Amino acid sequence: MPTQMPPMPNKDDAKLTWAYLEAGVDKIMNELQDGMDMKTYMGLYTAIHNFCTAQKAVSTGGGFNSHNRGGAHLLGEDLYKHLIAYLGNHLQTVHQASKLHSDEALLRFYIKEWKRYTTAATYNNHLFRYLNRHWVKREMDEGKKNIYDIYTLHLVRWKEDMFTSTHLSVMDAVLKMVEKQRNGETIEQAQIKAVVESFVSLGLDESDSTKPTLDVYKEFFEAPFLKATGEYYSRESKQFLAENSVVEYMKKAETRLEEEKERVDLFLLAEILAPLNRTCEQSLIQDHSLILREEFQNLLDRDRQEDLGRMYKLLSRIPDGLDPLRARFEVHVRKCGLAAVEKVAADGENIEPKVYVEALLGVHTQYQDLVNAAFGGESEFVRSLDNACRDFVNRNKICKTGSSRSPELLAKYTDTLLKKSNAKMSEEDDMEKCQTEIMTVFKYIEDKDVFQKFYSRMLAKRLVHTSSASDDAETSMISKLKEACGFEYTNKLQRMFQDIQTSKDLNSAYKDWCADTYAAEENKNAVDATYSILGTGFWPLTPPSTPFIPPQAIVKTYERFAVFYNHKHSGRKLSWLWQLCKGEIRANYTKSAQRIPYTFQVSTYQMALLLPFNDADTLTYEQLEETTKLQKDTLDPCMNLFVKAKVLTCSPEGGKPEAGTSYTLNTNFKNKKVKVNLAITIKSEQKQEVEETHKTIEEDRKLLIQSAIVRIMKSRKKMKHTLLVTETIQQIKSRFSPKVSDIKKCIDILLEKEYLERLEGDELGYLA
Amino acid sequence: MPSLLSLCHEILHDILTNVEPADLGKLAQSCQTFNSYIKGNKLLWKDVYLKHYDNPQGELRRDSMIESSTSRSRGNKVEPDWEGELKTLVSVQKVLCCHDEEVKRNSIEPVVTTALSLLETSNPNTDDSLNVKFLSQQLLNPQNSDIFLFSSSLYDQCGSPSQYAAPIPESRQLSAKLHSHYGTALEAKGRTRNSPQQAHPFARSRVYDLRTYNDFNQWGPFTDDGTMTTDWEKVESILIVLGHNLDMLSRRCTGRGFGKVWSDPFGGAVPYSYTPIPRGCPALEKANGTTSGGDSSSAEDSWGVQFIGQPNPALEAQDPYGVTGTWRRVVCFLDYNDLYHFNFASHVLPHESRPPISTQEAIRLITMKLRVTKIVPPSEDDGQALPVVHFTGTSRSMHSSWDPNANSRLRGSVRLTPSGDIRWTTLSVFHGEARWRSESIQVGGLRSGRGVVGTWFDKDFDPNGPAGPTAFWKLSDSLGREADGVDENGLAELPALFA
Amino acid sequence: MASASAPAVPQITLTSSDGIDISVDRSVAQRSVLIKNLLEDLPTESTNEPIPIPNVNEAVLKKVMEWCEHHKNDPTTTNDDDSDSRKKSTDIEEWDQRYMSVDQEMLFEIILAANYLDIKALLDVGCKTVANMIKGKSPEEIRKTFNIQNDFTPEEEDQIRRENEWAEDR
Repeated sequence: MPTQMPPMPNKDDAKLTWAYLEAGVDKIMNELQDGMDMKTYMGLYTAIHNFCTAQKAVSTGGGFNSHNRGGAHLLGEDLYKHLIAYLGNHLQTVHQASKLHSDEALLRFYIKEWKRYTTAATYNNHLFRYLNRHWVKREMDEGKKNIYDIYTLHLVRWKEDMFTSTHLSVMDAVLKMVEKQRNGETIEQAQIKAVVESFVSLGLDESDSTKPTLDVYKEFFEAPFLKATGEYYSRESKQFLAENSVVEYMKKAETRLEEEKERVDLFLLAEILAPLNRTCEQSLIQDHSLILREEFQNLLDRDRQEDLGRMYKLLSRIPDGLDPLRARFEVHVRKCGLAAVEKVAADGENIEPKVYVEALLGVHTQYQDLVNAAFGGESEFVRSLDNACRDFVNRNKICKTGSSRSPELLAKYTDTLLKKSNAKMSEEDDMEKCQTEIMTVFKYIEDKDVFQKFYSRMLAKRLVHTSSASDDAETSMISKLKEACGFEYTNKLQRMFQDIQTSKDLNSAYKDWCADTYAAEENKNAVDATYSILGTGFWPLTPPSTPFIPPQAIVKTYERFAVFYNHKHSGRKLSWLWQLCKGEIRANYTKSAQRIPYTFQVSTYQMALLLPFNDADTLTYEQLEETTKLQKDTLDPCMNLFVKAKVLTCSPEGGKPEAGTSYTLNTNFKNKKVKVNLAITIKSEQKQEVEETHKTIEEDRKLLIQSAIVRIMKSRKKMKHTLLVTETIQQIKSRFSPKVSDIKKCIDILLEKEYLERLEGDELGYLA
Repeated sequence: MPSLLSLCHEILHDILTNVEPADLGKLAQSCQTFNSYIKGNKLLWKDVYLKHYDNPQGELRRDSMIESSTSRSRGNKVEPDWEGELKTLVSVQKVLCCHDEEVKRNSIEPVVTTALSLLETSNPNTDDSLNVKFLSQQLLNPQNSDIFLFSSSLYDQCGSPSQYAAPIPESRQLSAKLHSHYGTALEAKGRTRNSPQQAHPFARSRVYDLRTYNDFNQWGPFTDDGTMTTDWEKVESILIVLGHNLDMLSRRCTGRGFGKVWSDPFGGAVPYSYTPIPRGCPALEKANGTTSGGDSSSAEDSWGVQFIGQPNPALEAQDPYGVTGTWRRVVCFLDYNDLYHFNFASHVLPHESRPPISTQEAIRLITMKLRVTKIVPPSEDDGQALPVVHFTGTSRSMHSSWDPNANSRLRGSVRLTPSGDIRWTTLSVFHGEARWRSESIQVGGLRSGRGVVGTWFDKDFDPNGPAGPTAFWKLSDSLGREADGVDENGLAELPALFA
Repeated sequence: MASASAPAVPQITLTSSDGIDISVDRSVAQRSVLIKNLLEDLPTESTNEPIPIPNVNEAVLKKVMEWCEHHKNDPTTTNDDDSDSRKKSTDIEEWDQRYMSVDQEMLFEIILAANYLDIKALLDVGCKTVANMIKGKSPEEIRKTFNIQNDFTPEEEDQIRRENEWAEDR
């Protein structure tokens, strides 16, 4: 039964006006569900309007106008105060009723009352609009405290008279429901959502009530919610870990974190996501990070990529969660690397370069895959991987004698790859892949200068002996090195490569020249020769170590070339690197039945030793020595080889190459092949070369250090000794890691040479 | 039956806020009801005031800024006397609108004082300011500008028949002060009503007259009595000279937009009117990428930024003057031979003016990057309302790098003069040795966009000079390169001007 | 003729204080914030019950609705903040000037109705119109225009004139 409205009051009568309004407001507050008629609505609005506009500029005397101040007073305060009192009473009743409920019933009650109240507030705000427009606005403009527009006033009253005394029990009910949901029960989420909205609405900025704040929500909802969440997961995680494996726990934690995220979308405020995550991460991850980390080694040992990835994701959520993993990972990879090398190091000095490089690569590839798959390719883990690899590549069992072993072996492996003889490597893809792998290892090599040295020597050989597999492969390798170490590093390599290209053109030009210059017959009888012109300074080659008189036929041949060459480039001196020359000679003397005579592939030295047998069947050691002027070092191995290959026979039989031994052409020479390669380098020669290379590296390093020191001092003029050492290391370390003692030695040398001088107090000065 | 007097208060208020201020006086005389309604109705007077003029209480930041920096604030937000202020403004407006030259000439003091206080309380954004709009409109009337802008002693020398110095020194100062705030808009437009002569040669003659640089004014734009009171007639002359030179420069360089600083009436001449150049627009970024003329400047620049270091937010928050940031500076000078000849070749009586100089002097544009280093309480000789802020920084020529005089380190200070103007002192330091000094006054007050105007001279006050005018104004709060991207790009090709 | 478009423009009925029903477009009537709020709060679409307007008579209500009809497409300023209008000049657009060319009684009736119905723009125009009638007038002219009695004693009048000398023309 709707309340009967009293009659419209006289506009000047505050008492009657309020009585009328109170009946209306009460209707709105309690009976809105029964509907409201327009007459009442308009009546209420009009009553308020009429009351407020009752005051006229013309003083009517008495009544309300008696307290007119300064001609500017507006009416309305009475209504406002009455409304506050009414709301106070109303909320008192609501609060009393709320005490009858608890838990879900309380939530339902709270939400129902809240909705009813705020709907009424909207109505009242409209009906009291005239008050809002004038009296409230004026009061607020004048900076009065605790005056709000009518809607906000409703919220303020609710907060004071209702919220303060109920929020604890409301939150209690909310948290119980959330716990139920976490335990897997279905709950009415909409209720919690409504509570959140209610709390948010109550956040009012004291200085500007039109601006909502989240203060109330944060203090009375978010804080207890987070606390309960933390406690719940602390309890759960402890229990779960006690009964399950770490891996199972990680799966559980993952699920829980995901669930909480979804919970935010379902009925919480998006703002809570970050603090909620932090709370969960604390209880689910941080509190158990030690146990998790303990498991890491286990998982690594068993190569459990998926679980490792899970652990990475979990620990990456907490501050500094990953650092301990990275450290362990680095140690682990290093250990694996060392073990892999140990396994193949049985052959010791004679280890096959390919086997060694593949062992290094195997470990790198395995853990690079792991970093990408499980650790999301995270740069810090990549750095740990790099640290570990750099370590085991440069310091392992093979490198015991020195870190230069790795670059040496890598260079050798590269050489076999790029050599013609490597028939398997026909596919370009494979070549590209292998080169990329080489570069992977190269990246970790500390003594890059050693690699350079070996590489350039071997490249020189490949070029001179035209034993390169392909120009493209060579170019591609050089450009990779250039990319990694810069132009300077590959400058000489590139020049060598260019020299060979130029020589090709030169040789064809020489052929044309010969055809123009000499009679056809003469050309036909001449030795068919090819020349490589190698620029001094770019090639890692040394002049012949032995005096040598080349055979007359060769002399004639190269003199002819020299004429051509000097014609083309006058003023250049050609020196012949006899130790690198080779040729073919045909053995027409053999008695064998076969029609095609044997062809011997020989070095020029060997050629010079065989050609004299055109004039005599037997020659003594002394005669050969006299004719060729070759030193014993070179001569003896050649003679041994001829005897061994049965090209020559010696007398006495089994006689050593020395004075008194004589050699006879073996006319019964037999071989399965028509082409017989006699120009095989001898093992001992190779070994000697390696040692030599290492020795030149030491020399080069000294020069490099010295030039770095001079460069630094030239720009600084004066510098402390220790500072100079650090600076020098800084400049050089991209090539190799210099030893401090070596740098000190170099400084001493420079002091001696008077490039530098000692000044007072450990300072050095530059002498121009 | 409704009538005017039967309306309720709120409606009456709405009606009366729409009448002119003077109408309130008429209404009050019509009957008892209106008289008592209007008299003492603070809100009504306030609303009518705000309908016509800017809110002198302005935005909150003004007061909070000062409060945070000093304990001495402008007082606890005393409500302005709206009624009194409005009545004063009505009477000033009546003077400005009347046609009686005599009345106007006799009212220079009240009119200019009121105008200056309107500027002080103006909306910082002068484009939106009711106060600035009101004043600029009134000064469009040539009679008003002749009397209120052009009554300093300078106009005895170069003014039209209707422009001449006011008889009282205080009035001359006030007129020069208003003119300094107004800027050189009228000169730039060439509005020379009946005046056959331009003002700048005469102003230049004053600026380079070394007799005006003395111990009493510490070689700055101050009066010669040792009180460090701003001599607005000096500031006015400096502004005219620099304004003219900048105008010529911008014309030669097809207007790169730096003449703008002084050519809008009252533009930036009110407190807090400085606003940073908008950041992040494509044109600026493009300019950054392609900064030409960066030959040696990039090295110089990194040195500069490194030297002055990163801003210190804690210190900056307490700096009421807004020192930290990138500033544009202009420095002009006469060829030294000309300067010497002008000052020492001919003899003039102590109070006789030297002849006008029509030779154009050299002009340099400079980028300054300043950073607050120290904030200390004012000394006895300073204005007490604000602290003294010390700063360091760098100065870099915007012309090619060949001008070593413009590239230096800087140090200096800002303080209030005893009479409340903002005084800047800078010292240019070359290789650790101070060489040039400057003394200037910030036109428009605290954090104005107009800038700081004054003199430069030898730091040892060498009586033989050199000396000349200088000014600087703020571009950006940032110390980074991006701050002056667009200008830098534009000015890399600036010629240095010698006539 | 309007039958085709009629359903598209919902109508509502207002009942004036003297009991006359006036039918207007809903959107026109909603220029009044009072009516707009009422329609929001009370579901009337179905009933189409007339809305009682107890403070405005037929003549004035019709006049006010005429203004609303003309201004129905103006952007509505929902905020009560008048800082914008403060900047606006006292200019009144031409149509409104003609609309306001009514006798004083009607003018004040419109103002009162606009205040009651909460139509801010109309209230502003009304107040500006009255303000323009005041501007530049002498006290005597003001009295004449608004039919105000000079209730000062000569002594009072003298004193008040002195107090207001600041406003005198020179």
